[in-house]
Amino acid sequence: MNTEELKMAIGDLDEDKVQALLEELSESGAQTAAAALSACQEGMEIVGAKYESGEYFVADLIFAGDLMSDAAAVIKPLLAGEAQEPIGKMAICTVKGDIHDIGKNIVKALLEASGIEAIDLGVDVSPDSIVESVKKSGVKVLALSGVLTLAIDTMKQTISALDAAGLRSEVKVIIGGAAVTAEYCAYVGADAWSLSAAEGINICRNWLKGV
Amino acid sequence: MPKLAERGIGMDAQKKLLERKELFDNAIAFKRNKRVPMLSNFFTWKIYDAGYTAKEAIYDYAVMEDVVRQFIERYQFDAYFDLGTRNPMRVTNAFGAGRHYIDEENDTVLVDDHTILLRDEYSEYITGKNEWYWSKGFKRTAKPGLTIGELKNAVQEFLVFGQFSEKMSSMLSSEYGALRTASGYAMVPFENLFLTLRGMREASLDLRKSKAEIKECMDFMFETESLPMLEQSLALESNDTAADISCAFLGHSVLNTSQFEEFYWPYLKAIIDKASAAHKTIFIMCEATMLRFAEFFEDVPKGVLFVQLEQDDVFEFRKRLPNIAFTGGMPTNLLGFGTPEECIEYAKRLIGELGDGYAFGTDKMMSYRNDAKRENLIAVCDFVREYQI
Amino acid sequence: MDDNMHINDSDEVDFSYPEGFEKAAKSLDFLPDDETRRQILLALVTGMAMQ
Repeated sequence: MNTEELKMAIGDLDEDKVQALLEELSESGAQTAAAALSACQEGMEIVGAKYESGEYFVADLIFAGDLMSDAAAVIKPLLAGEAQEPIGKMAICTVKGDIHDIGKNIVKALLEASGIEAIDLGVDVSPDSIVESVKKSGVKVLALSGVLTLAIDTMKQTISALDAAGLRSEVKVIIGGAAVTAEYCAYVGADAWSLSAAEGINICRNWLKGV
Repeated sequence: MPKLAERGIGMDAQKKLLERKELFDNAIAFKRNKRVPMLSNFFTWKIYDAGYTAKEAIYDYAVMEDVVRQFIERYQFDAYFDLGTRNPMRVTNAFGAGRHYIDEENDTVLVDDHTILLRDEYSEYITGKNEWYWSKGFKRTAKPGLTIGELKNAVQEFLVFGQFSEKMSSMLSSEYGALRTASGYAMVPFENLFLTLRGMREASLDLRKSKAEIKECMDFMFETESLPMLEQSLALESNDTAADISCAFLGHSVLNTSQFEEFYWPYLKAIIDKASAAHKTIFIMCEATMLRFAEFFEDVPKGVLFVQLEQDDVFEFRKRLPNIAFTGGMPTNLLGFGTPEECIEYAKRLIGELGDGYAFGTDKMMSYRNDAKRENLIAVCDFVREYQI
Repeated sequence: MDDNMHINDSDEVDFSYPEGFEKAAKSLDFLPDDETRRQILLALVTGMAMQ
């Protein structure tokens, strides 16, 4: 299988070509599967770059998320111990009072494609549940999503709850979603905010790499 | 449509209506006004402001009427987008769950992204729309085992809701001399897929997975639904509304530029061209940003569009599209978390810099408790109403 | 459609078309005539039900 072609097919969101290339994989070994997974991840970086340049937008990211999930479902069973070490792990959720999950799922798919293990806590997640999950998983990066302005207050409560649990200094928090602005970021007390999935992922990646 | 006096509108209310209508006519046409008109984009926020829960107001039309009256009397906007008729849950709950529901713990109204039309049913929709609606679409939204008795109850609730909507519209003009946003309606087909039939996620996927089918279906919808609706709307009088026709602009928020050019703009342009030729105005309710597609709107003649902006920087918008009048710009974070003085300062800047072609309004649909504080909204509304340009 | 067909409130709605639709429309006996019944039911089904 030609990994360069796979990378470009993912970048072009060419579903038929991706499927055809992945069909060839079933007879390959674990090493080829690992190379295919890397190619898909590089393809998703192209998707991110096309989003940043304005060529792709939200509908494309929704499509890309599905394409990547489908590809990973084919590739992962073939890896047999050849799995790559993730850059790091983090948690992501839509905060209490908000049920919007499309943006969160796009970010999650892009995080995973960029080699980050993203623990999805779901939607409508309370500050207490988030703190519990952070404690349990030991994540150092947390992404909070919300489309409703109502979510802003829950984000603030979540950060206060992290503080009360003595975790705030250890955990970097990024907020995202249609409701978010620089002013709200300051009000909430988050470390960063973004309306762009690609930019948000870069911020998380840099945090996890300690940049 | 009967003249204002024939519709039981008293002289005081009639005078106010005419003044307010003129304010919006001028704003849309970029003519100088003595003051900036004010358009309310407040939805469920006014329920909480009036001291009720969402459940109390949405299920009881007498309570909702009190909510709307309190809001009109307290803030005195010139035109209103919502009159308590946004969430007809008594109707939808009567036959099934509906997409909207109340989160009682948080006292909010939420909406699910869900799919009614399946990807392989586009051709069925085209060849037998009513059959599809009855045997597939309605069946999917109705509760399992829906009885004839429950359906009859739902139809009765539907009629009661229609009476309530009419009563609220009439109350607004005859008692308060204030305007609704528009008398007619226009629909870009992608909105129908995005908002109702396919949902945001599935409609997004179809743009790549079922390109030919989605285009064929949208052409069909435009010919058989959008155009007849537009023709009817163009024939209506609009002496108690800010604009002539309203049009939702929401689905564009997921599209890239080439998708917008192919799947959205041809239909919207046709609607704009027809309205423009008939000397009618269109109120566009825009979610997310419009500036991303600014190039498409550059040649729209001045005086046709009046846009409710949400995420666009209004000062940038004015520079980029000086041909389009708009409302919006008052930041929710100031109304919700700032002081009355800060709100007034910002409103002064909006009016000072935007002036002609601008109607005062908020930067989003106001739905939640923390979207505004009462004292901030009173202060800013009192200020804008008295502020001479 | 048989005008004498008896429709009980406890009957489940039949989603066949046009038979089930006609039967449901017919049951709306508080509306003045068949055409109005069809139109109102269709308005509910194509508009409100899609909310």
